[in-house]
Amino acid sequence: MSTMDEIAAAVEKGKAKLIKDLVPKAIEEGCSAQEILNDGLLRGMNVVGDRFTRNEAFVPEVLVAARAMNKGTELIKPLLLAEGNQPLGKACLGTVQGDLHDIGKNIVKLMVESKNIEVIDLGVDVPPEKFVETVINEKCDLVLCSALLTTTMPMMGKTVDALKEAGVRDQVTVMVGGAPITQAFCDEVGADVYTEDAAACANRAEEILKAKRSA
Amino acid sequence: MPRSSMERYQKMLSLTPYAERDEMPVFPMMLATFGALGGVSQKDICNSPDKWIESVLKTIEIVGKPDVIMPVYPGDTIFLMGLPARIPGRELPDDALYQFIEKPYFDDPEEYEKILQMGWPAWNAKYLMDIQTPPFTDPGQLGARFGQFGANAAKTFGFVYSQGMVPDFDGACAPIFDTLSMARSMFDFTCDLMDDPGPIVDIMRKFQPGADEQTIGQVKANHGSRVGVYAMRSSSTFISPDMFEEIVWPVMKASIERFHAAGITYVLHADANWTPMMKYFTEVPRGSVHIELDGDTDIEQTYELLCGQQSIRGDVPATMLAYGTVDEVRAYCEKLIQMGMRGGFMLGSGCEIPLNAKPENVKAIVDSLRG
Ligand code: B12
Repeated sequence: MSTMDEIAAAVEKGKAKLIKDLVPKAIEEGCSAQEILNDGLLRGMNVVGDRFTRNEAFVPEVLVAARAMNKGTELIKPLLLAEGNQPLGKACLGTVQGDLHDIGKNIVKLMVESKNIEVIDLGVDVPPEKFVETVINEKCDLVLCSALLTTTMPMMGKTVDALKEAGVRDQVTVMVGGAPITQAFCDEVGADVYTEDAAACANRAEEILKAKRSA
Repeated sequence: MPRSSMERYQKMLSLTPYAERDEMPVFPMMLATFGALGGVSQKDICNSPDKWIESVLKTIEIVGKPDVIMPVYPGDTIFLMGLPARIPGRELPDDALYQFIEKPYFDDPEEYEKILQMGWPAWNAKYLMDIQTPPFTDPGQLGARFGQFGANAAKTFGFVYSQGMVPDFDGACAPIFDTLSMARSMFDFTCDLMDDPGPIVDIMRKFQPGADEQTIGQVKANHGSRVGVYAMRSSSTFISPDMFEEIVWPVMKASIERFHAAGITYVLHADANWTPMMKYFTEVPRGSVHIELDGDTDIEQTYELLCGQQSIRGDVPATMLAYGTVDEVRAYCEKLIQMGMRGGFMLGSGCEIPLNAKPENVKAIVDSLRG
């Protein structure tokens, strides 16, 4: 097994401690940080993401895999910067105003990051203005809104409206999700994309950004 | 003579087929929703059992009378839940729903060793004191708070029975596993479980039996026969089926058997997705568990699996009650009723009905059996 395969396997199994040894080993062997990221860390994480979508892996597996992946990206961060690694794009993510549920949102963050997309996490209870401000200041490509309560779902519509009012609606793709959200609701509030789970969210985000790049 | 709610409840527990629809009990679950539908502020229903009772009576006038009801008013439910909370009129506007907040109470896994040394009752009492706003500094305060809960419960249970309704439970608890998950917080607890479940399992095995005995005492003191068990952290939303089998189920199974031996039904409040876990409930005595589903678990698959073995309640989803139409709710209920006529089924909402539910949608649940 090559070191890169070992890295992917360690992420898949959530072995953060192994990653601590394997990443420096790969660097010593002359692998670039970009390779370690794509062929090792993200590849391992994607396997877990796909298994999660197929209901073969569960939240704990995703969380520890992500912990291992993050350990690895931390180690190669300076090298990535030196190599001039460009993330695929930038997203801002938050649970909408009035809502404190963040477990699903955090999983979305981990999955989207595993596609080499930069994610600005605005946390929970995020008012529409905060999304708008972040889109403008950080030049985000994607806005990811999470809601778990029927009483806070309408804040997604308010967020779309606020983006329109600020004149930046066309610059961003608005993705919505959370247990009570449906495709019909997504259409009704004028958001762009709904997906049922975090892995699908990450796949769609990747597709959208790749299409945007090649356009 | 019209049938009583208790007769319907007993019929459900017998797990035998219903001869007519009127035999099936109905339970649109509400707690804070009573305030919203009955026109009493959230602040008031959280501060006063009398105001809550007033909101229940007003709601019943609008949506009809349920057979089963939550018997503990919001102020005490929040206290018993064992999570830090924001309260309407205190940290929140007067008409906002109370909020539980999850933040790590301890951030070093060494704490598990401390629990093993201190014992669960002492640690749990300290935890409950620390999460109050403002925190309790004297164990006497905790004793007094439980005393107040007792007095309030006497009033609210008395009210429930005087109205001919059946309380959802006569005593309630959260398994140690779930309390630990909430106190440590989801992410860190999951990592602990994956890294070294040993100390967590030790705590569960050592202290769950004693905690159950205490709960049995509480239920008996209330002359009751049902214990509400709030165990959402044991679902496949949070742990894998393998972890459930290895870590949670052996302890939960022993608890179910312990309560059953004491003549108490284990009313499992099964929020989130329990689909892969349902098969285990065929391993415990027939009729020992009543399972409350919230719309995330596959209810048809569960009913097929457990029919004649355990009873279940469910599961009109919150989203449908807030955004759907009366026709949609009716159709959904009708499907459930048809399914459940083989017995052991209670028609209900998935967990609590949301504050922005349309009153006519809630009424449609009750009407689909009594209308
Ligand atoms: C855990 C939990 C809590 C925890 C939250 C801890 C935390 N740090 O997040 C605590 C105990 C604090 C809590 C509090 C409350 N909760 Co709560 N909670 C849950 C529970 C059990 C699980 C939610 C969860 O974490 N799921 C696991 C994650 C992984 O799933 P997920 O969030 O759906 O995310 C996945 C997808 O939806 C998707 N996704 C998520 N976000 C996004 C975003 C995008 C852009 C995309 C594309 C995809 C996507 O990807 C994720 C992974 O695949 C649910 C029950 C249920 N059936 O869902 C109730 C539930 C959501 N809660 C509910 C309620 C009512 C509350 C409270 C109001 C209760 C109260 N009175 O205090 C408060 C609300 C406080 C507030 N203002 O937010 C209700 C909501 C019903 C309604 N009215 O709509 C539920 C449904 C329970 C029920 N059946 O009644 N809760």
